[in-house]
Amino acid sequence: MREWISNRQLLIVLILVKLATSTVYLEPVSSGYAKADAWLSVILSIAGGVALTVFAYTGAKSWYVAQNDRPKGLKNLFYWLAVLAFAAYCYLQTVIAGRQFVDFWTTNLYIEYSPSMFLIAMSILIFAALWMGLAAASRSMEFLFPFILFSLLFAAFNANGYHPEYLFPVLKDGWTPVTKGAIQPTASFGQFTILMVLYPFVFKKKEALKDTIMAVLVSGSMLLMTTLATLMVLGPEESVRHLFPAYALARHNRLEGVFSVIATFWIATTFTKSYVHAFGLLFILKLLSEKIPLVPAAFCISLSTTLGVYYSYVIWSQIVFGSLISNTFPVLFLAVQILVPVVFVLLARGKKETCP
Amino acid sequence: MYKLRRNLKKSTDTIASSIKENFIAMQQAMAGTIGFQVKDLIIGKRKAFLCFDKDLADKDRIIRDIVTRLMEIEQEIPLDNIRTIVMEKTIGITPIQIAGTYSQVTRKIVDGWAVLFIDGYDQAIAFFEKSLKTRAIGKPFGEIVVRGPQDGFNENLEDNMNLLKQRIKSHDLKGEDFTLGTVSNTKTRIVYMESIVHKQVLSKVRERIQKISLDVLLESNVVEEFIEDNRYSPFPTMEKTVRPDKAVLALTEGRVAIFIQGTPTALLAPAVFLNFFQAMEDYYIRSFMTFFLRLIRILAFMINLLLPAIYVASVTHNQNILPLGLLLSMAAGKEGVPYPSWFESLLMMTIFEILREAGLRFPQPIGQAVSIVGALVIGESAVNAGLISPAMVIVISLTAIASFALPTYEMGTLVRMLGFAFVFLAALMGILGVGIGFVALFLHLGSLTSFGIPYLTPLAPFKRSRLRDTFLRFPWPNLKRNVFVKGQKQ
Repeated sequence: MREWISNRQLLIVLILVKLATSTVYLEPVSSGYAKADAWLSVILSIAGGVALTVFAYTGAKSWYVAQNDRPKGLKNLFYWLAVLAFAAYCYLQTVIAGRQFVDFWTTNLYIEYSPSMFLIAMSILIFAALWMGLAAASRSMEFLFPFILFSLLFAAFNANGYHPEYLFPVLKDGWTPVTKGAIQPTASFGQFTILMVLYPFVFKKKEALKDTIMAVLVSGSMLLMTTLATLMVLGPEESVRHLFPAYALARHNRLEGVFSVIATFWIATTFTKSYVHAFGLLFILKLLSEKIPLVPAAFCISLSTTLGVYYSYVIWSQIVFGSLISNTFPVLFLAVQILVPVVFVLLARGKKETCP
Repeated sequence: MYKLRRNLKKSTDTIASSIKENFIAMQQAMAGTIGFQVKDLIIGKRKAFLCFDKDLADKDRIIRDIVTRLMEIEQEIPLDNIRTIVMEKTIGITPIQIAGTYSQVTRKIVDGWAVLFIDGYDQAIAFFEKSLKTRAIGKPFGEIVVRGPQDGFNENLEDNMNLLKQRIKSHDLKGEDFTLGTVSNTKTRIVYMESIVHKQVLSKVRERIQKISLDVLLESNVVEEFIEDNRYSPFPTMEKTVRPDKAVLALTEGRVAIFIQGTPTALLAPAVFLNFFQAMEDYYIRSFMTFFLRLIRILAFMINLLLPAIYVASVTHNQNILPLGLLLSMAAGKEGVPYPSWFESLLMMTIFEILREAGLRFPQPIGQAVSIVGALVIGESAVNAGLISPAMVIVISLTAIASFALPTYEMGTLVRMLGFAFVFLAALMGILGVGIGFVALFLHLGSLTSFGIPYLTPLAPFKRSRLRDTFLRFPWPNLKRNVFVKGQKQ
């Protein structure tokens, strides 16, 4: 039986997914190009995000039709390639969100800790959410949303030492850097895939466009708020240097303690992003109907191993270059990453055919 | 009971017209049954015998109301008129039913009925003569309020119905009876307001109760575990009450109440998460105070869940959470304590649970003594001996007290139990572990349903119309009751 989510839940999930990227990671990107005009880039990206959303909505509707009336066999090669690309994109997005999550914690609050602990914790959480289903996950996010919103507002309004003069002069280098700085946030606000994943499950599909635009506006406003606060408190040069400007802002105001508590609520945003993409992957592979725990388990194993590969290549190889472990581990990880999911997925598909 | 059934199967189950045959059949069926008695009678020149269980039925009343009256019949009774004459003679005294089989008869006897066999008549006449030995209506233990009614349900189903009907004087109040337990044959009744009950919930409750298969039904928790949506979740998805006013409130919200003979605790379905933070007193005091009290309860829930965990996280992994002065003072207090903070915390929480459990089992005066000794041992001696730090004593004491601020005992115990898991997560991953645990907890709550109603309703899925009785309670004229039936209309 298909699980439905309400339009309000769609709105909240979309906001959380966008917040996961925008408020924590995007600000330095805009600042890198536009410097003191980064806030203008954000405003531009919100407008672009709204336009992209309208476009994505049309795409989601077509996708939904295609899902219900998909061609048999391999006649429509384009369709299958699209499916493959979509699955790959979802998978990579899940991995990237997971990596961002781990990066944030290991570079700020848990500098001396092993990333594997965070990988396992995040994988378990995603596994649990996949197993419980989209409706249950959406309900819990709906419940947690006020906490997250409150924590973001708290972080912004607790900053002090504002210097509005850092924002001037406006448009010193013209519109070109502002436009360049707006490209990545616009792409982030577009989020075609998310809408495509969630659209088939939305109860009132006609109102989905309104909710999606609202999500762009809310998350865009949050990004604008963070950007302005960072620019005015840290200054344009300083804000580019920090991968996580919101944390730098808190540290500047000696609020790391408060921030670390607030950051626990931010787990929900990166978790939501990972989860929704993981859900999209299972959805496109038609594995949601499988009531065996192996499928999400396989997914989680592959997720954690991919992240493992990343760390074994990028970090371990640099630290213990040339050692046997750093050379062997990636190969093992890759083998597990490919073999285990394939076996599990095959098992699941086989079971599906034999079940009534 | 099994022996009885085996004996019955050997012979034909239908009642014979011969009194001798019936007598032998009954003697065989009830052989060895404790308290079984047979009394020979002559009714209208016909031989008869009356059998009953002297432990269950009221012997004096049987003799006064049945035996004496029936033996007054002197003229011979025609066979086709036996039933009418007996009923005429005893009408208005006691409920009467006709049984056609021995199994029906034995069932009646073990339920406190007296059964009459008359020579030549191939049916048995059963008289309800049950001697009801029940507790008087007393205070609702465990759900005490300062202001409001002070009566509570007892173990007798009929008394409980009486308490309900005193408050709901409407023909809309309906009930359905079930007999559960192959050995205990416990009467179970679902009660609802026909016009406003949530129909899907009612049909689910009915279907699931009909499917219950067990031998003995002792308490309402047994039924709850059979019929709830998620029996492996630690969170309760049905409310329990011993208060008639609470049951009435639930019924008028479109919920279903389940009463079971032999227990004062009624079950209310469906129940959502926020129901467990609402006490009956909330409706008897000013609405503004209700808002304050409910917030305090939610705060108590969060303290129970998170305070020991955040303390452990802050002293183990995330020292930057605490202001420097406090951190130094806590470090000084912890000097000389041989255990890590997480172990200290788990130890203290376990000791508290042992003391609480001991205090509950001991007679009241000794229980108080145990509590005092326990508090002294933990609070004073353990700190002096350097076993635990003073800050930990404060954290655990506050947590323990907070658990009793929750209006339901079940939720209080559950949240303390979850506190252990959170301490474990905090020990493992610090504040991140607490955050992950928190998200996981609400993921689980999001997946729960109570008879199809999402557990986090009305916050998720959000129902604006039902918010008037959640964190805050609107004044009664503006209350627009939290009627579950609204869900099905939508």
